[in-house]
Amino acid sequence: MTNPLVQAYRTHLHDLTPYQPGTAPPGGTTGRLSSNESSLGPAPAVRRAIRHIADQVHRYPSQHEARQTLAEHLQVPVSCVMLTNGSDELCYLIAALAVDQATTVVVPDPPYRIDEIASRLERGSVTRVPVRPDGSLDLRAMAAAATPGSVVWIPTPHNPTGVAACPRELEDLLDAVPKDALVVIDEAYRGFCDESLRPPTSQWVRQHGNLVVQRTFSKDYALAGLRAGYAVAAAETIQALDAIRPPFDLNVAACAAVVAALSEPGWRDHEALLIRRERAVLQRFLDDHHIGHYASQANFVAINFDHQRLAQPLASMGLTARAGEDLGLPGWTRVSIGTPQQMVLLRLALNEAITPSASPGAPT
Amino acid sequence: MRNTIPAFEMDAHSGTAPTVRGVGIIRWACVAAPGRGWGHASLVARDAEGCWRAILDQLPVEQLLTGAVQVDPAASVLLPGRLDPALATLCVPLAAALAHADTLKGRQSLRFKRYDLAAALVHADLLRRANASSLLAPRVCVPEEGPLRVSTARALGAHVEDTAPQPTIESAPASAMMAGLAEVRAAVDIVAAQPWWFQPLVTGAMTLDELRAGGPSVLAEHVGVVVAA
Repeated sequence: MTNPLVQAYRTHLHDLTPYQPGTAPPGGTTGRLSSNESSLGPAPAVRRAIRHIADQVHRYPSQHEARQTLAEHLQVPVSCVMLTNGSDELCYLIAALAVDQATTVVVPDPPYRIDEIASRLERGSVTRVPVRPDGSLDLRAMAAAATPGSVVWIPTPHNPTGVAACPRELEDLLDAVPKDALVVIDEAYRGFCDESLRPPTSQWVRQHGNLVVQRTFSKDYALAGLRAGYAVAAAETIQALDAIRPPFDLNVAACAAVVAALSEPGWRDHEALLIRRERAVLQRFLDDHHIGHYASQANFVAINFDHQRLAQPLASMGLTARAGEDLGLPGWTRVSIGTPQQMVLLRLALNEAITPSASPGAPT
Repeated sequence: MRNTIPAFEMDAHSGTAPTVRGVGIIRWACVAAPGRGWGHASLVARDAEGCWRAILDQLPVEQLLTGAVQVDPAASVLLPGRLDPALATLCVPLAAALAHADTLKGRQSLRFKRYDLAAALVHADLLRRANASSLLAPRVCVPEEGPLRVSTARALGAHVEDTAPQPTIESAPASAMMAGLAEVRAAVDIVAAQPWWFQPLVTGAMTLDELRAGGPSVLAEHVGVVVAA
């Protein structure tokens, strides 16, 4: 039976389903290719920093040093950055700041779920703009859907398709939307993109006061378990977001880890190179076997292959992937790029799924 | 003993893999790429009782490709179940690298001639030791051009450049990387306890067919390659 209080106060959320995280195989997270996590794990400097911070956990955290280090890393004024408890917290803060009942919220279809959940929580009116057949965002249509006061969520590379937006089209969108529409460019997977698809968005905030660039330390910096994300925006926007941010939202371990991670970029670069290389190997394999997929620039690939057909071969290899229907891509499977060893097992599982009569695990 | 990836157990009797007389099916081979020819492989096998073993022999990769692999089953070390068999392939060459790293104690800077698996294992172990003892790790320089080797070296904090301080350290050639049972057992314990020091060194993994198709040159691109037989 529905709680009458929930029924009374939350009618606009009645059909909202909770966010479902990726599942792990039985026995541990080793073979989890369903959550787009780092494959190498955190840098040695991060491990050291977390060990050392154990003596400080009785203190309330301060993100002052992490924010300063991040601003220097990004070459922006410290007043233009803020750290949050994962970039998902930033979604909720942006929605709390900029969305109300009169707001038209523009998201791609399929959307990144948290953008939509946060917007609906604030009673925004969500307009979904379908992605193009190649999985790319239809930025012209999204700009056209924006009205004065809108919030436009732009995840690039997009999750779940993995396709990155063309930098030129992003600039066009910023020029096309109403000047009081807030544009949020979510670059969670930026670290895995080709260089040409990494425009200097953190510098764009100088020209575009209505832009928030949203990034995370969860992916290429491998800090998903610590929850650290950040925003780059005009100082006035950061000031407003800071005002509604819960105090001490970034814990001491996360603050220390951010500083350490930024001090050791070689580890992140290595992981990104391995991911890009293994992503290309997988995409070539899929092409060779005539299996459809989007041209992902992220640390995952959406494969046009029914998860129900793939789940058992994956399980036999100790792996899990994400069912596309959970992400708005029914009939598809989203697979994270893991270690080279895991990717061999993935190719063996795909091979088995294509040819069910083959011996389990037989080489291709 | 159980491995961490159950797949290896269920397909252990695949008829397509080369056999190791008296032991069972080879599952993984770690290939050191010396930049010429095929290089050598360190084997991890699974025996009929479900135990995983690291095998001491360093075999020419050509034997893996033809399936005519024969090794002495007594020259093997049992692997703990928590150790990923793919990472376990590093234990035999690491055993030799441990001895090499012993000779470099106290050096403040080192220059490797290349960043192949042997050099990378020595480097990773020096870092591991320094981290455990709170000492400064030696500054490592290496001239490399291959993207995977360059990025691996940088991930572990090495400077990739030509103007490096002396002395120059020749990394141990793969054929010389032999070690005894005790050394391999020590290496197994090290990798099982802190696998993340060594995971970055595996820059490629492929099936035997993919290895055949790629040819010897594919190995020279990598630091360490794991092969699923």
